[in-house]
Amino acid sequence: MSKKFALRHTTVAVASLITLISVTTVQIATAAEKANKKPAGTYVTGDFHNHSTCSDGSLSMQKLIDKSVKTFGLDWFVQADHGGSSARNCTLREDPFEPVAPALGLTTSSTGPFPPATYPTGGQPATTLKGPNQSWEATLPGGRAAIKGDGTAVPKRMWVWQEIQEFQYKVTEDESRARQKPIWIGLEQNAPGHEHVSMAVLQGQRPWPQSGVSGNATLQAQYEYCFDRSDTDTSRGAENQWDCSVAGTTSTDALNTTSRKISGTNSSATPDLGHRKTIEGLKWLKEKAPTTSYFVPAHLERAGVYNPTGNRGFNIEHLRAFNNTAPNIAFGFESMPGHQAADTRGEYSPNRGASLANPNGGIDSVGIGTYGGTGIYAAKIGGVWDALLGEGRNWWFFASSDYHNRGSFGADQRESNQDFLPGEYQKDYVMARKGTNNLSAEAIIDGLRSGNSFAGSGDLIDRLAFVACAANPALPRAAFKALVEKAAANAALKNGEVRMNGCATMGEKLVVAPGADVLVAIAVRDPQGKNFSPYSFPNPSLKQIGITQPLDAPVLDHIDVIGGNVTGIVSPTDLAKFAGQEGTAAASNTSAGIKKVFNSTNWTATSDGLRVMSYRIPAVKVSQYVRLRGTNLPASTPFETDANGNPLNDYVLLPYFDPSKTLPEQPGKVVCSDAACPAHMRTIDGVKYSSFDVSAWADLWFYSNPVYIEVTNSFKVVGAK
Amino acid sequence: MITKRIFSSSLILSAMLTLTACGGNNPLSLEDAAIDLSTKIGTYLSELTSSAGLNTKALPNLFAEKFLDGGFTKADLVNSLTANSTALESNPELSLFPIATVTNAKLSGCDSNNICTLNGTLTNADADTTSVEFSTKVLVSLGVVYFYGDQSSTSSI
Repeated sequence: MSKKFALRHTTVAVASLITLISVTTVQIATAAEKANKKPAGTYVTGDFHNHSTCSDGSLSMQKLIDKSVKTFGLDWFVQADHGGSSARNCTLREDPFEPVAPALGLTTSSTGPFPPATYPTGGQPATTLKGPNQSWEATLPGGRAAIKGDGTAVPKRMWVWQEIQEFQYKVTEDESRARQKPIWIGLEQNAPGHEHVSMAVLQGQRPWPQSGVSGNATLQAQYEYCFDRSDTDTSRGAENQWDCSVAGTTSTDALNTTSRKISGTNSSATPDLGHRKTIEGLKWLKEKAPTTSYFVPAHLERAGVYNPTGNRGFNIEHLRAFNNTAPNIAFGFESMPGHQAADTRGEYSPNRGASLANPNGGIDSVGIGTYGGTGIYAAKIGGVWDALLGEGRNWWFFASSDYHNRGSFGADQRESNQDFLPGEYQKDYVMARKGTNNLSAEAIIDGLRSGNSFAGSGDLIDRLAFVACAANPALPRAAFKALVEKAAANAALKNGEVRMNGCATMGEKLVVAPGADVLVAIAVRDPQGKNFSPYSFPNPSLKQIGITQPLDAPVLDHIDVIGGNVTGIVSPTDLAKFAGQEGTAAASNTSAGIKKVFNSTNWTATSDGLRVMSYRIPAVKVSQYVRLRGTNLPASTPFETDANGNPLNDYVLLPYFDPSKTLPEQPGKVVCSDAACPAHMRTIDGVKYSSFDVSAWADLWFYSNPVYIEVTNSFKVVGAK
Repeated sequence: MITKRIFSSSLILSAMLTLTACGGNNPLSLEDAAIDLSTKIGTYLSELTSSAGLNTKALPNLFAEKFLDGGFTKADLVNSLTANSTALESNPELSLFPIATVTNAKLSGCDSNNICTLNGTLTNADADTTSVEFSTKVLVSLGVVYFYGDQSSTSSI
């Protein structure tokens, strides 16, 4: 597992970065709002990173949206294809139903957990030259001439800015209004100097509940033109005549005089140029859409460590730089990636990208694999995420499905050996304060920004109220505990939050006097019934330890309360603390650890699945944070969790085929011995191993965002309110 | 000058007992004494949002000298309130703590040491009303009811 880039490269990158960022602008905020100033809200489910045939996905926009908000019931959705150019017209619907025998005998819409008449939907994966696989060139009335695109390729490829501005936005808005759910268009940016970023500019878009005059995605399209690495158009958006300059930035003079954007990216000739361009993009968002945009690095460990002469991953210094540049826009990461049913979970692996022609030419994902489906940046206690939280930053955890296709299965089939559809496996649960109004995209983006959210897989939990309250010294301990626990339980039952003065929830900070006791209360709901797994045979991972539990009816085993100290924002000039790869001091928080474990022995369970628990942090002396994770797997589940309950490397559980195809396929670790184990499991010498979707359904986790506790004479938590 | 008649029988406790309010001569029943305590604690708790309220002596006076609740003493209470008062003066963002009212207060189960059980309803109504039933030990002394705590020096809470 070689590390491809030395620290010196990182140092060079940071040195360059610092010349660019002369002033850090970390947000300063106040303590949690008083309870009566918080409009009522609920946690709403959604996903902001999935693909259609307008990039490298397999579905039309309409079908992808239908799967997301109807079949799997998401409350909100963002269409986010890659930037650059593409040849296929994703605004066309799927062909009329082309039967592909649904797997698992589920042949009618009345079978299974899906709502009637939604399964199977019309249209299996569109075949070549049909439905949304048809080209823009073949389907636009103006043909090739109507395409503002690149090159001489046949069919002609359309610039994504044109797709967004002229075609995709209309479909998105129509779908949103027809379905009465906030659905808007974003982008999975090919970030210059890095791999990918999930982002959106809502400004101008008018999804439901807005009605009447149509909106536009012009700013989103312009961002794509200006800042997507794969968009090499120099036309300034044709008649748009865009200029990508940002007021008051040092890089404006680097704009190409023709394209009016920064040309190029990281290369040996222009090290770090791409990263600087990405920073410029953030400044642009801050200028154009300061409260209606977001920028969330996606699967950020997958492409390895940062390379100043290539477009690879993200080190912690880049996350810090993003957050410093635009704290209200760059406020988190997608460290629970999509592609959870892939042969290497999340598509994380060693030597990633190697080929037969170049067998050693790949890149090691940071951490090599995911850990319980989450990248090492968030999964490792005391690692990158805890380092960022230890500064008191507003840096939040998100998940995405990153749906492209189901591998060898069709979109209407239930197995997958590649991706899960949005809402099928992973969800972001985001606090939306809509008051008496309809749910809106603005409220959801506010919720994303606030940090009042949690994410998880397999519907392990579907409700969470997580709060830290300053213990009232004048109330009996037992009574105070009962009061706060009851408030948490009530909130969870209402799918809301605790609104009580003297308490703070996720993304907020509780400001307390030195020596105060803090009561942490948690109420989660382990949903009763089945999740969307098509498998009801016993979980193979749990079977190893004698637990029989259907894959489609997971049970929350325990919750870890993870805490760490806050020691203030690290200055970009303090390179030793600011910059470094995973595992270095700069990317670590040694104070972080598991502070408390809750399970059936010390939580109160009710028949409706509610689990209520609390514990007291006595006499706090320093500023700190607490966050949660939970899983269906007990500690010391072989190949899944260690003795402390930490998730183990999924790549070890699911070793990949040799990328060069010169070595035999490696077996898995956990045998899938049940007669119902599906045929597509990795099978060696007649032994089926838990793999692909089965291994994902077997290993479920949720992560909450943190609650900060600021002690008045200790470090200030600047990233939370 | 003070008539003190404490009965340990719960049946008898339901009857009116003659007590004298602190500093006065009006007889109070146990029921009234419980209500008096709950009213006072509610009033003083509601004032814990200012430095003056945090510094009031009236609130600690509701606690017995031997108050001990999960290792928390009356001195700890005073220190905590003082610390919050000091912190509030220097940092107006101080979150302070949840406030609650006590209603339906009733005393029962008094023993020979005049330690009784106070049952009541604790309610926070900042935005979403939360109520719980609770009970705690109180000391009845010279006609006044004081919080007494669970007398445990450690706490699992």
